Amino acid sequence: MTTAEHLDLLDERRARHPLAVKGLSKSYGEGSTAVRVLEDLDVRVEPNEIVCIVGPSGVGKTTLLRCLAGLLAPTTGAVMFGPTTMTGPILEVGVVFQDYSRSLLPWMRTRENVSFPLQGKGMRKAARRALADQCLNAVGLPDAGRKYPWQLSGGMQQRAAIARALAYQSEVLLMDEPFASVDAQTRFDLEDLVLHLRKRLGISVVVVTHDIDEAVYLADRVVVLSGHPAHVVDVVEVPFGQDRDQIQTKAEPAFTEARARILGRIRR
Amino acid sequence: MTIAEKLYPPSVAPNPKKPSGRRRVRSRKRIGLAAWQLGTALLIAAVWTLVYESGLLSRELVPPLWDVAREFVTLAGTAAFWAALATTVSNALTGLAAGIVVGVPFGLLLGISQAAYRSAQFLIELGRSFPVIALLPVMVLVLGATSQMEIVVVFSGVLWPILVQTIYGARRIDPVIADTVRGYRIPPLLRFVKVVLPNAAPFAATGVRIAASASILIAIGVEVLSLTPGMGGNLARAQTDGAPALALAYVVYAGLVGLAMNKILWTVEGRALAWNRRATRSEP
Ligand SMILES: Nc1ncnc2c1ncn2[C@@H]1O[C@H](COP(=O)(O)OP(=O)(O)OP(=O)(O)O)[C@@H](O)[C@H]1O
Ligand SMILES: [Mg+2]
Repeated sequence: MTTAEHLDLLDERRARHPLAVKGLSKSYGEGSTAVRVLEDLDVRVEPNEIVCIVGPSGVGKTTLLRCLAGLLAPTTGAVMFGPTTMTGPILEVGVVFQDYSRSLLPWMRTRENVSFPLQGKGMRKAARRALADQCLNAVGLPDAGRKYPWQLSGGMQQRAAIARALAYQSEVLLMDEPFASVDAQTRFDLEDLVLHLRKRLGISVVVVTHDIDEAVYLADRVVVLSGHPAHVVDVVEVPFGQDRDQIQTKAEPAFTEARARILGRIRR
Repeated sequence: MTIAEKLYPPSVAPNPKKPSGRRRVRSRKRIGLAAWQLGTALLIAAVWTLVYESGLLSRELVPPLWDVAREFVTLAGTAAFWAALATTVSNALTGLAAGIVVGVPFGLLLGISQAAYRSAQFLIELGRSFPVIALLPVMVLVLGATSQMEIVVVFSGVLWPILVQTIYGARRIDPVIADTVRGYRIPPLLRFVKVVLPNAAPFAATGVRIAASASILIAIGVEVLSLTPGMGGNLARAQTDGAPALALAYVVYAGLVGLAMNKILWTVEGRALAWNRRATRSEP
């Protein structure tokens, strides 16, 4: 069976609710030493959409993603999932962290890493195992379940982290520079995996990246952050639909155009 | 310096990932290491003999190396020696076991509860820097020069490294793992069993290894100072009887016991926490 066929075995989970931040500001520290990192952001992720967040290093991309995940409380403004205000992490939103090698627990085999969040959800052991294996298959890691994370390559670890988020059955997947430290070929494969997951499962995806090519290739919309404190300087719509191709899509004039526009925005 | 202070190397935490070495390179390194160690031993023997021959130090204090070696071999043939060794080791291990039974659970508790940690912090600081040996006269007065007394002193010395290491291990959770656990909404009990415990285990094991070497040291120290039966008692008696070679043979045995204990624990730990040894590539 191919990876794509394995993916077809997973339940569809059409995202139904938008994830949005409204008037979000975030400061670190308190009182006179407080530093404002994000200023009055409005970002909205529609169901089944891929949104990429780009910006220079240190601008506050991770901060925004952690707010979206409910891991960080906004200083002002709100994070909304559908009609409800988020006050902490929720089931419907899963995260793949920037530092995947540290987010997989080294004392658990890969399968258990994928399945143990399901134990917290009260799922039975047999069902957990089956779902974990399905998700590992779906990300192209059929034989990794019995291995420890540190026995896997960087790309494989990142796939395992994606499998864990998939198994959790979130509607929205948040990814912080997910492919920053893998080689180019693996990176392309993983980008295509994300596109495929979106199409097949109907999930929404937010990808933080500093690679503009990657942002344009993946996104339906690219949100450009810049400044101190950071605000949204541009939102670029990308018109390529759900099916994309590493060579053809990147050769289209619209691709080059979007790329140039974003680059100009960040430089300024 | 107190014994307790000696017990705390500033950093005994498992290191972050290091690139793996090739097996062949490692075995060559090991041979090189053995050569160095042999060289060091020979050098010490040579210096020793030189000092003895030159008469720089009183010959009453520094017996010829050969005499020590002879006593070392003779001792191994006497039942009394083995009985003394058994007494010392069993007292040390009993104290160590008590230290583990008390130190690990309390360490976990103090590690996960900020409030408990804050209220116990002063006591721990006091306990870990308190010179246990200073308690000895009082202990001898209360309990006599007995095995029980020895065990109590060993316990009060080894408790601290185990406790402090376990607390550290339970508190020091990688921020990315903490985020993961929170993001996936892992409930507290599951978090404790699947995250806090395994995270603390290598630290606690390091504490136990430090404590194990210390337990032998403390046991022998107590025996030497209070003439409690055991290797240390015999050692002290040999010293006062004017048999420095015999005393030194005991010292060598004491060192070997400590070494063996450390090796055994290192092996057990390697089996039980294979993931940690492999994930962090630590060497003994
Ligand atoms: N916990 C914190 N306490 C104080 N300041 C912080 C904290 N975390 C981040 N910052 C500051 O907030 C700013 C934004 O950090 P953030 O990690 O969100 O940037 P980023 O855009 O993700 O950068 P990168 O591309 O390098 O990952 C930085 O200036 C950083 O120094
Ligand atoms: Mg970041």
